Amino acid sequence: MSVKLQKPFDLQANTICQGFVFLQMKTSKLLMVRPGEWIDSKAYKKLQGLHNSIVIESVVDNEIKENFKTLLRKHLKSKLVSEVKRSSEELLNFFHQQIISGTSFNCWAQSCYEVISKASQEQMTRMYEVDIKLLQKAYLSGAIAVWISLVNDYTEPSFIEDIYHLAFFQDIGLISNNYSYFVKEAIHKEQQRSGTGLSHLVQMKASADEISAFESHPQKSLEFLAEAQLLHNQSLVQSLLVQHEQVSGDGLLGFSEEVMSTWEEILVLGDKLIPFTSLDEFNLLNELSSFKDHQDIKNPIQKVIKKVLSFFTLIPEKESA
Amino acid sequence: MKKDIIILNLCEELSPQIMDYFNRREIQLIDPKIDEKNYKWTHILTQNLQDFSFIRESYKTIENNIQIISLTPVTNKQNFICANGKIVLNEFWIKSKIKNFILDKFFQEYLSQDVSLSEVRFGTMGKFNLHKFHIIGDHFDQLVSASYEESVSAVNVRSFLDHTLMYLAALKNRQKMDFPLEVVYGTSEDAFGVQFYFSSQGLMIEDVSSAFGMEGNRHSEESLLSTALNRCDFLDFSLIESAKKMVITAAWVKGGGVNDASLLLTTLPHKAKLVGYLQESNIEPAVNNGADYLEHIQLPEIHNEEIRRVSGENFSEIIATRISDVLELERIQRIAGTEESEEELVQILKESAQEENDKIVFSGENEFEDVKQIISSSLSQTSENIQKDFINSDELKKIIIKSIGEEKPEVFKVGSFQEKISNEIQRAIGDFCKEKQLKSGDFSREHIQEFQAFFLSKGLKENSIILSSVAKDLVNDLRQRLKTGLSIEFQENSIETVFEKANQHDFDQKRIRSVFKNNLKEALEATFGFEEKGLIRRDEEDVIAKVLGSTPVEREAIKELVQDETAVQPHEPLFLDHTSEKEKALMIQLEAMKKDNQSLLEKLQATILEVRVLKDAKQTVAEIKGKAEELAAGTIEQDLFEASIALKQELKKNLEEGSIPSADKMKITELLEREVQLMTNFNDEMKKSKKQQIELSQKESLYISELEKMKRQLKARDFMLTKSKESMQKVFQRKDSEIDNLKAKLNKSNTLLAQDENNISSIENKHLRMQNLNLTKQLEVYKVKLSSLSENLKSREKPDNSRDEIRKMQMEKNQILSQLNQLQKESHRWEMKLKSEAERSQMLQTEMKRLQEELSLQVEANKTNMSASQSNLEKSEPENPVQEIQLSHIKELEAKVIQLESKLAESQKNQKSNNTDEKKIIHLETSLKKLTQDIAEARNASNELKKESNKLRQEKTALQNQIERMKKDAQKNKKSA
Repeated sequence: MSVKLQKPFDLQANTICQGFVFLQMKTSKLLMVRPGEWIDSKAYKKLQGLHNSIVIESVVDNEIKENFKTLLRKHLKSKLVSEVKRSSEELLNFFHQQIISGTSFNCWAQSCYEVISKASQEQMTRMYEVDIKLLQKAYLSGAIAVWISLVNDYTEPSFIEDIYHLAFFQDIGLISNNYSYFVKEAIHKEQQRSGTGLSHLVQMKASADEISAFESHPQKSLEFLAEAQLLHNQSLVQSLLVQHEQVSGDGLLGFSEEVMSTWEEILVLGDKLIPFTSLDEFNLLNELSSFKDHQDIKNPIQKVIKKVLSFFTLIPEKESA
Repeated sequence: MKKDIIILNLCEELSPQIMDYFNRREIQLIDPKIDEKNYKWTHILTQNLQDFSFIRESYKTIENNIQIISLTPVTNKQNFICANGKIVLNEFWIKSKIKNFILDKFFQEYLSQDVSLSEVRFGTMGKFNLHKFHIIGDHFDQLVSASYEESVSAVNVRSFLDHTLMYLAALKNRQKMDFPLEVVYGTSEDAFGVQFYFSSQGLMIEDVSSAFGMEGNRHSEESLLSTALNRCDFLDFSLIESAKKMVITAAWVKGGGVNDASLLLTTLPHKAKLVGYLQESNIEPAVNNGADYLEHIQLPEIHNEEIRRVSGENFSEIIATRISDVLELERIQRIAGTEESEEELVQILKESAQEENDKIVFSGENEFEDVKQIISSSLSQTSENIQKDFINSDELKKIIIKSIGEEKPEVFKVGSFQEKISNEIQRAIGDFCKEKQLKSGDFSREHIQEFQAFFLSKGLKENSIILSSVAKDLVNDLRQRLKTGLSIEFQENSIETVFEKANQHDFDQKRIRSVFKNNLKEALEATFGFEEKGLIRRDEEDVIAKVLGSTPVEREAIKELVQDETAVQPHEPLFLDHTSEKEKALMIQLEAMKKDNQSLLEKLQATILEVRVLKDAKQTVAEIKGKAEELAAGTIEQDLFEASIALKQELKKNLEEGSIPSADKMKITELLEREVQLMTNFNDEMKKSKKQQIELSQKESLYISELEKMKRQLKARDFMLTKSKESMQKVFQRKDSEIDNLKAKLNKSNTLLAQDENNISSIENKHLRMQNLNLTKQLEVYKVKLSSLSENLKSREKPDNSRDEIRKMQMEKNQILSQLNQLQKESHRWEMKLKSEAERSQMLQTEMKRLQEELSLQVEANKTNMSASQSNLEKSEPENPVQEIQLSHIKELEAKVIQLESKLAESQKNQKSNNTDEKKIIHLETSLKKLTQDIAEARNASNELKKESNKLRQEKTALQNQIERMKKDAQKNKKSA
């Protein structure tokens, strides 16, 4: 027996409204839901061995979320360069503090969604109807892109709003009648390794419509965003074509990393850090550490990765404290 | 290699570094003598070439996308870019480590994908991004400080940044550039680099070349990139068209030392491996150790190599005086000239180039360019026209000259072209033969083509003199001024007679020199503007010497005079600060008087001239009269007339007598002839005299009228003179009175100053009192304002019905909100319960399946009890439709819950957006009612579900009982079996 989280936000909201820890025994798995914080690190390490038999889900702490929202609003309202700089530093400090202390990334994601998102209910429903994963990924990608932007000194308020929507709607072009299991798999494969998505589709003998849906989704996403007029700087929609699921030049549209600008790399990293398969149990620290391990081989996102991974330098200090 | 690179090599010699690179990358270098048909050039390699329009036309570089590479600096970048010029690489960069990176980047489209990333790229020191053009100050300051720390000219970096940013702003205004703009800066072993990265759409090469105009242009926009380029040592424009991206990189060599900037314009493929010069590294950002680059900016020292400072105000006068003293009178006469023809001017300038007899003299840059074009086109025609396989040098020379003569005969009008071009071509052919080790008769078509390139690369320029337009302007201006000046001074239109007079009298020589001095001063000032600039360039010195000196010795002497620093030291008045106001006033007066005197003198000169003209007129009238009298006399004809009358009378007598001898007959015929002649002469003379009489009368009347006019004018002049004298006297009187007034004022002020300080204090006291009064008034006003404010506050503190109402409304709103929250919670609870019910039903289903499986197993095991087991299975079948109905029910309920949620969300949104609106509140209340109804329905549905679940439980227990029974039966059967 397995539990499907149809709408993670609702579940989190429920648990907070009820004010209790949601814990349910399953035939094969245990679902642990902690309001606003992760289980302590020692326990987590112990439980890591039992990862296959335990599902750990985080939920939103209202207080922390409100703090995030206040800081985010303050930042977006800043006008002077010094104000923007100060507010972004404040925001990042608080974010890093919370993530290190085990607060769910959903707190940040939810606050970004509530403060920045201009997505309409209809757009959200459409994504949800086609695939719940699409909505979940959009929700997390937007939030993570905002964080990476702030870390990489892209602090301009209008840009923050734009990058959120670019990340949020980067895969909206997938919404079509031809979206299928194979397309989903292809997206997953492409995310894991550039250039493998299309070959997977061919290998699985997917239909021409499915292949077309996969191939044309960046262009469709661009067209959607261009039409929706959600961005302050409309020219940024072009980034969707350049960054899309590639970093080595072998991917979907085949632009090499040299051609990419920082904001496009932000979008790539925002996409890479959100695995399409395990969205229910997204853990920023886990994802970053797995990314860090790959650094030894070669990391193509040169411009943005360095500052993002400098985040780990903050963790030992906390532990030693 | 992806595509072959075939380069047409127009260079004489290539550096080993470049050759090494070409060999390593297997790039083919083709000699120009090899036929183009065999190879399709991808690039053309040039050296020491400035005009690329010929290459553009000859090789159709734009049409065939043949890219031009120049290994030497190019002056006119616009011309270079317009001819598809892509890279200008000077010696420094060719020898540097980064050469391979630059060239790999340039040839990237042609090279295979495995081009290695160079290790010599710049390490990043800092980066920032811009979203607006006006928020740049702090970022740019940090960048420039970093460059200063890296021993690069901070002024150049700042200037580059400003110009580039202005260019980008221009692109943005044309919607060809988009934000964000990424700026990265870093350093390598020997250079500092800055890189701009931005999105760019629809950028054309014209958008780049248009900003590469020559510097010094009044329209700064046209030379934004030229200025930016000249402020750095290397500039790279890379466009990635497919990705709509643009990268601009600039580099500065540490410690300077590079004279000319290099340029690279590339269009990169979208899978480009090499784009940026800066890569992420561990270089720490520049530590600002307190040294501010602005504190180290110094004004440049003027080296006397090229430009030196002169006394702006006096320089022209001093050198004009000194030159006019030294210059020979003949030279002055030559400059003043007789005709205003262009040829004459050119002749004067040519005289200054006499020592270089072999060179062709061109009257200007334009003329030179025209001739060059014609020669090159005739050379290409020559190669087409020759019929033989080989041709000798003389023949070639003749064909070239002939084709020039046929095509463009006007070229031969150019100064010394006709005389010298033959030698010039001869010499060029000789050099070419020497270099290529050819015999004079071995010229093939290919050789002629090669010779064309050789001739162009060598350039006519080296062996020709191009007269500067400045020199022409100076001569022309000086001539004009001299002609008018001398004619006024000597009252003589003919310059020759002026100089004839001067040769006779020393005094007149002095007068000429004085006029020449004044005019030279004015002409120098008008041409060079020394007074305004206060600077003189070396080439300007040369122009003055060339224009004025006719021999090398004379020119050297003039140059020395111009360069003599001690002679041109400006006069600076001592004790500038101590000159009194009175002195200044007197000086101004003196200057005014000088001007007045000068104008009076001019007027006097004009009247003298008029008087002279009148005198001349009188003389001519007298001469005419004399002539008329002479004519009237007509003595010769009168004598003839009298003689013929005497003869006639004699003949009459003879006729009356009747005796006409043969001699008389002869006389008669002679007489008759004479008479006829006389009559005709008489008639002619009569006509002439009549004409003269008429002319005389007309002339007399004309002269009389003109004399009267002149008399009137003279009277007017006299009157004006007397008036001007009177006015001058009045001016003097007025000035005197002004001076007196000033004196009086000074005295008064002195006396005022001498007065007691108490006066000042009393004024101050008054002022303070006034201020006090103003302040007290202001205080009163503020007091009134404060009281009114306090009253307002008090009135606000009083109970207000409207406020109460608002509070009530708010309370109601809060209550509604709390109700909404409760409803939300309830709906969540129901949802959870529904889910749990669904889960339970699922569990039941699975249990059912399990039991069925067990049953089937048992059935298999007990084949004998088939009938019993079948009956049992039949009983279990009707459960599936029930489950289906249940599931459909659950789904319906879920849909209802989703509807409720959406309604709730809508109501929440409405609540947030319009809190104050009463209508919305009413709407909310109605929606609340609906919600409560929905929830009641949901409750009923859940009750039904509960009931159904109870039923299911019951059924389940019944089934379990049945199963137990069946088990027991089975056991019994086993036992019995």
